[in-house]
Amino acid sequence: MTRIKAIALNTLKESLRQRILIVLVVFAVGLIIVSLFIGPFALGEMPHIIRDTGLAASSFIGMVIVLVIGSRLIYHDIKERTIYTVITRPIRRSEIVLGKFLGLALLVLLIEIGFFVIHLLTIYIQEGVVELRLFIVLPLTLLELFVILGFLFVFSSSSTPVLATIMGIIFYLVGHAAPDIRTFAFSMSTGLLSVLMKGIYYIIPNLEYLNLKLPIVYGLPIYADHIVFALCYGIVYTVILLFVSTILIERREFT
Amino acid sequence: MFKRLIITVILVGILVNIAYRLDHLALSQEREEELMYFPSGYGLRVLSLGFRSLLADIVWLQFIQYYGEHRLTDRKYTHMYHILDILTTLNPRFIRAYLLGSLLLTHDAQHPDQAKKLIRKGMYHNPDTWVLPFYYGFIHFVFLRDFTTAQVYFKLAARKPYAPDLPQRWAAFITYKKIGDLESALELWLDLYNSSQNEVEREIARLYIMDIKSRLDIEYLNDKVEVFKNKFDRDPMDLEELVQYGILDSVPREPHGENYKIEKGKAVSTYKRDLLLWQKAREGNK
Repeated sequence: MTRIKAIALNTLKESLRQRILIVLVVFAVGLIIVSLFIGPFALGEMPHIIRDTGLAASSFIGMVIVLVIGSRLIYHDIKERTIYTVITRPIRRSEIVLGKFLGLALLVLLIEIGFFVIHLLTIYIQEGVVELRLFIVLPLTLLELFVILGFLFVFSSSSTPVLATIMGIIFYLVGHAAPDIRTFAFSMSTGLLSVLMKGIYYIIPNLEYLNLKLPIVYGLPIYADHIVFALCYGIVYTVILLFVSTILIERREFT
Repeated sequence: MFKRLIITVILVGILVNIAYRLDHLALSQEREEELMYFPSGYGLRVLSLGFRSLLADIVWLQFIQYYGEHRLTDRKYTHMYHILDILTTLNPRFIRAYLLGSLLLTHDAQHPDQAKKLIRKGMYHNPDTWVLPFYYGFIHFVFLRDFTTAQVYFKLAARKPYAPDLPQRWAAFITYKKIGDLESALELWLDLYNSSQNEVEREIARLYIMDIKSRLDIEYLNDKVEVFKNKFDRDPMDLEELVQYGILDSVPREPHGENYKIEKGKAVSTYKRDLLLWQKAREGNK
């Protein structure tokens, strides 16, 4: 556990050294621009727009950070041969993967909390209300990012950062198109293709389970069981991906 | 170093110049084309990648821009329904789009059929929202003068959760045969004016309120003109003459700030109305 913690903290420090927190400034400036300049043209829809923009930006910027850093993390260590300094010590490869994942997850968590606070402040300045309901989106967005991070770990353990990034983007796209894939799969008559499509649907990550932005912004009812199941889904999916990633890295021979 | 800086500045100047020229190159045609290739709502929904709500906001801003541009220029709103359809497919909970959209489709675009279609879509996706059937009834009552349908939808709105007494009151108006009264129409527009938070909706309501007030004034003035005619067996020269002979206390001013006048023995408004559909509906009803 101490070893994982050490790797995680080291990964976090390394990432912070890349001045990644500047994205918080970008986010804040973006929200201020939206609230100041778009407000007058929104014809009474500004409360929705400011919430939508904040949630979408925090999700999108988080995704970009995950794609940029996550795809290079393990590959970079292998290429720069810094991984040798770690694997020669009494430490399991699975601990390296887990440590690195947790380090990056911690970074994403810090950034997303920063986004959340800035978002709340912007809404408070605009409307004088503290919109705590938005908090429900935070763990779900984090899990969405962790799932993609898991995919990046799987692919960066066995290929190049470019391929890992491409695969990460593909799974992100497919994950959000999952409800349409479901409709397609279940509208087919029985047969091999139908079974295949249903199989594909259940294997791909359904990121729409973790997307409650619209019901949150429009004050629609959100059910506790949905949130609990969605959180479990995200956690289990991430664990599976980390498991696959450790298998791949353990099978890999470093020469 | 200095040389490079100058070259960079020149290049930026050229870039800005090209952008300016491109912006002014057949601007209106580009805009039409842009909307023609605007994909369907379902297509955008698939491509929105979890940002449907934000995309709907962007389409909303584009809709406002589209409305504003055409209101200031040709007053043709060919693509208005298309934009609203996309918007409400991306976010079927965007109640404001149904409400304002249906009013603008009826009042400005003169397409009550599209307005009805839009609200029906809204009612399908938001079955618990009272304001949608209320607007459906409102459009039938005020613009289309179809009081039977209006009453059905006012009653439907009244049964929805959290509905105020407004739809029930309007259903009662129709029951007690107050349909077609200018006073009742005025009250309905006043209700809408007072309950709406949206400035465009309020502006449309204000226009109709002024129009109805003006019509009520004219009805009142023509009654007085008849009294004058019966008494003096001639047309009054102007409205001041009615005041002179004690038939009228004072000449009311038009809600738009102008003055009523006498034309061919009748009191008329000097204001040029822009409420074509309203007039057509009234004429059709006669």
